[in-house]
Amino acid sequence: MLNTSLIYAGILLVLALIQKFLFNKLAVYGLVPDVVLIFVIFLSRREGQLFGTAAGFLCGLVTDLVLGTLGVGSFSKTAAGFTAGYFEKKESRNEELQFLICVAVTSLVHNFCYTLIANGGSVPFIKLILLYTLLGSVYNLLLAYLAYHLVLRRV
Amino acid sequence: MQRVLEIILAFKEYLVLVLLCSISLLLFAKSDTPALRNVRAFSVEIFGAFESTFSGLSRYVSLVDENNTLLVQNIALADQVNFLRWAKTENSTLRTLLHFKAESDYSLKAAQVIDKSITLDRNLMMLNLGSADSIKIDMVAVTDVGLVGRVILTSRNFCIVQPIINKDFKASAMIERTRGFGILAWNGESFKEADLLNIPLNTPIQKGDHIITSEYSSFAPAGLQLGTVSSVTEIAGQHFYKVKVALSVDFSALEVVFIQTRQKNIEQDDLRKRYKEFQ
Repeated sequence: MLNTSLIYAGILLVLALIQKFLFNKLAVYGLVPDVVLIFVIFLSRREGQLFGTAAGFLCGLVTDLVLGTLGVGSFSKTAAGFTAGYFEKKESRNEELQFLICVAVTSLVHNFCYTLIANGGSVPFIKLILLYTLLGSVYNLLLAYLAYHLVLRRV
Repeated sequence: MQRVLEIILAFKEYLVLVLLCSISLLLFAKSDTPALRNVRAFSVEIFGAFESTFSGLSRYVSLVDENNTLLVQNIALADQVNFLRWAKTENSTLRTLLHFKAESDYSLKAAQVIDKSITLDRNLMMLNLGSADSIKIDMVAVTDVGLVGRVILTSRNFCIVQPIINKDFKASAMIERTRGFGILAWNGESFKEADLLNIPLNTPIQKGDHIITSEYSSFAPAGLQLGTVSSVTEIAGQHFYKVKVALSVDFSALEVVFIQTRQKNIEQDDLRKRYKEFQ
């Protein structure tokens, strides 16, 4: 378990750097695809809800240190890890569909929490729901689709 | 006791969720404390080194491209005129920067922008100067055309600047022509424009007016250019104009900035602190 956790930590650091140097440059209307979130979802489904929640917190903390304000990412990714834990990985023909539904739901929860804490009441509620939550989730869904077919399907 | 343990085990996921979310909120609330600032500064130092390497690589790659371009241009002599024009523009830009540094009332240090964002809500810039170069929090980043932002975090060799195009940025501003005061803030829509808030309807203001920093600013010296008024709108039922300001600084093309290394007025800060305690 220790070895696996160390591997996960290494992957997290690499993904955090990729997020900062690559994905953050792909912002559209302030929205960026979140590769660390996809990793949290992957961990939560693979290792269970408790592990996913704790991993979400740590992943969020690392992204906060690299990218922005402390506490915002850790809160939203903890909630994301917890949510993704409800979609635990099961052998099934519809594995891809299950993964994408999990990403969609978890992204909604994550983006809602993130925007709410980061912007407080300064963002109108409709904008928060439509732009940051829904469109941000679509962006993550596209990334998740690519990640599933390129990497996660084989893991 | 057995029963309590059973309950804890049954709800352990929820307990962990509540605990970790509480820690996150605590970190968010206390993110401005010296201890957490130190942690952030440490991470900035580490990731700054990465960014410095990456920006060096990209500069190297662009130099190779430029050499190839010049070779092609040397062969095709017809393009030489274009190249000379480009050199003249760059020369002019550098001369302007040198002139600005010589003429400034404050001591300036040139810094290279090694990382920046302009499309997020809370854009930040990382510069290659840090506490080892006497850079301190709340120092002002400027160019020859105006205010860029304020230093909010320093590590030994790097610092982070909060530019005007960050939703958390606020600066006390003044209409140069009429001396009317307002607050410059950014609403996240365009990196070329900001809002001038709290301008009452009886204040004379018109399109083209220059906006500068006022004496009331807690970090910037008075008189720094912020931009020019691009539109003034009167909204029915409101006591203030809606004023848009075209920013002086082009954040998309920013590569070199200057940090004003003036010291904060400690006496004023102390007085403000005492007034807050008095309240």
